[in-house]
Amino acid sequence: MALVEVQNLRKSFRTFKRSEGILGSFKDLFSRQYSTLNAVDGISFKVEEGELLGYLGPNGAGKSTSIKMLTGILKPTDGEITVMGYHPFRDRRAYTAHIGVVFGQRTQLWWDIAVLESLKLLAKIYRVSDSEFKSRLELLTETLGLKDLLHTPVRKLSLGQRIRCDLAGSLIYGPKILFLDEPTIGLDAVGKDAVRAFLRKINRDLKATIIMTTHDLKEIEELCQRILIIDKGRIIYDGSLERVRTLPGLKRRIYLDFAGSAPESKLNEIFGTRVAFERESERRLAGSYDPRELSTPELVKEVFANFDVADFTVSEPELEEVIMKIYREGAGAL
Amino acid sequence: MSLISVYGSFIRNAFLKMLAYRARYYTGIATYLFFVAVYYFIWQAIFAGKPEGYRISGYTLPEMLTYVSVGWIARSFYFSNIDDEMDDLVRSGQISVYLLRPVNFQAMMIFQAVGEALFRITFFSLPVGAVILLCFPINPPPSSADFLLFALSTALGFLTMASINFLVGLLAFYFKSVDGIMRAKYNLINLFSGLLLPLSFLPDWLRVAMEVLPFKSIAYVPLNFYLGKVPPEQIGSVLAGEFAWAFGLLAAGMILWTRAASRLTLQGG
Ligand SMILES: Nc1ncnc2c1ncn2[C@@H]1O[C@H](COP(=O)(O)OP(=O)(O)OP(=O)(O)O)[C@@H](O)[C@H]1O
Ligand SMILES: [Mg+2]
Repeated sequence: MALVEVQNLRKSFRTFKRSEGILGSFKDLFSRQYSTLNAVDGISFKVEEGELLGYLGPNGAGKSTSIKMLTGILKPTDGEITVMGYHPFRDRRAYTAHIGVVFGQRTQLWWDIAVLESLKLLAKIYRVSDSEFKSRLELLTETLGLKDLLHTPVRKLSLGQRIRCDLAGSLIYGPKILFLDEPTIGLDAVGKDAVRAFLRKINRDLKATIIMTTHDLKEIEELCQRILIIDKGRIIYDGSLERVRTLPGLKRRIYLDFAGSAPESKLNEIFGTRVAFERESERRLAGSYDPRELSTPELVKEVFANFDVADFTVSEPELEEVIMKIYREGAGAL
Repeated sequence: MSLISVYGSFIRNAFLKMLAYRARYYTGIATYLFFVAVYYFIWQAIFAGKPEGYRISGYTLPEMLTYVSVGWIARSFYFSNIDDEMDDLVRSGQISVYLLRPVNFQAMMIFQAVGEALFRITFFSLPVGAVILLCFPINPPPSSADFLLFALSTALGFLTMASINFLVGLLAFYFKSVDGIMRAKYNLINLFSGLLLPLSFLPDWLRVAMEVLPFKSIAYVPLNFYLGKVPPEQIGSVLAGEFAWAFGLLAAGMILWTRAASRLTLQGG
């Protein structure tokens, strides 16, 4: 059995439609009109132990809502979730003892007391033995660079410092699975890098399963083998990061350097609409093409047969371009 | 054992938190002294010209003055704002974080309130009590047994108050705004607990209702224990009544919590 199994999960919110104007507000007093928003609209997926899954989607897609249900704090409208054999909402108190959660936007540490006191309190709540606490604290202090922060109250930390402490808080009791909702939101490059390195480390060394949402694609590229893309409450992609790059409709680029002046018109004659060429410089052209229409070897072969090429490079579509296309076009892009 | 240490750590934490903000309480001391002084002079005016030993609704002037002073000192202990905190947690969505903990939410809130109460008893009730003792004539309880009964009864009053606050806090899960309800509760409890005046001063119909309802556990009953005014043969049944209400309200909160929690939409994020 997979560590996490989600079946037809749904969450709908009832929102109150306000009428406009004074007359409208008056009318609302007597008859309220509600509309239902399906924030998560029947999603299913599985996560195996040790996976590091990236959960992507545009703003308002339903990522946070899914995470809240997966962590047992929000009651699903419909559907089934099983994590390590628990039903998160129903078994909340028993279940939450085994998971670590970080919401980038909120701290889970106690605002007014020193970080170390918060960590100690968490150790008590999760019944961590003194020796375990000591060794984990040492490891976390080391890898997250917390040494100078431990005696500061959370309210006095900067965002980046706070998130590092929050990560420590979510791991001090050794959870088997980690849910992270935008853990690097608002961090600078160095901070992001530290968190990334840390996540990779605990995923590799401690075999922790991690499910994380983020809007940072570089993070996804560096960390995740598998991604899940959700849009308007539905999963529109579930698979490897590699496969998503081969989406139909995504253009690849070839850069051609010629010994002399680039023969643009002749190339256009040969390839027609299959490749769109642009001049980059006197001797250099860039062409974009759809690899399903014209395979890269074929293109290269034909170019070499007809011209004197000094050098060439082929580049894959940028992940950002891929994701933007998917966000823009929704399920239709896939 | 480990359960004690889990919830005990909430007490400790709340205490530490209050300690971080202790300066805020220094102004509170003046407020309390002001209240006690106001009531002190009001009662003196009411009893003015009456012969010594004169009773109104069963209280002599020295008893009344002791009632008011001890009542306000005790209030600094049993007071809690669980309802207000729950309202904030729901509104900000920060309740998510509390739900992520493998602990009983109600117990956690109440133990935090215990930590705050213990803070106030050391840093607030005692200094305020000392100053009041210097400024106003307060009678000690007739016997140490009376004092113990007062302490026990105040502890039950604390639990009653905390349970009521928890129930009021649950309303925040249902309504957009509970400010009005909380304010009404605040005033009603000041009156019906007997803090402002002993329940025997109320009109008969209201007094009978208050005899049955739980609010008297908060101030009226403990203060009458302090003054030694509870007849010995009634001590058992009075305490049993306090116990029953405190734990009954606690149980009601526990049951309603499960329902309320499944309504949460956890805004934000
Ligand atoms: N408590 C709520 N009440 C009503 N609607 C809500 C509530 N929480 C979320 N929604 C709606 O549900 C949808 C999904 O929201 P969610 O927070 O899950 O998005 P998200 O994918 O996390 O977006 P982002 O990337 O911006 O964080 C949004 O349209 C949002 O307005
Ligand atoms: Mg979100």
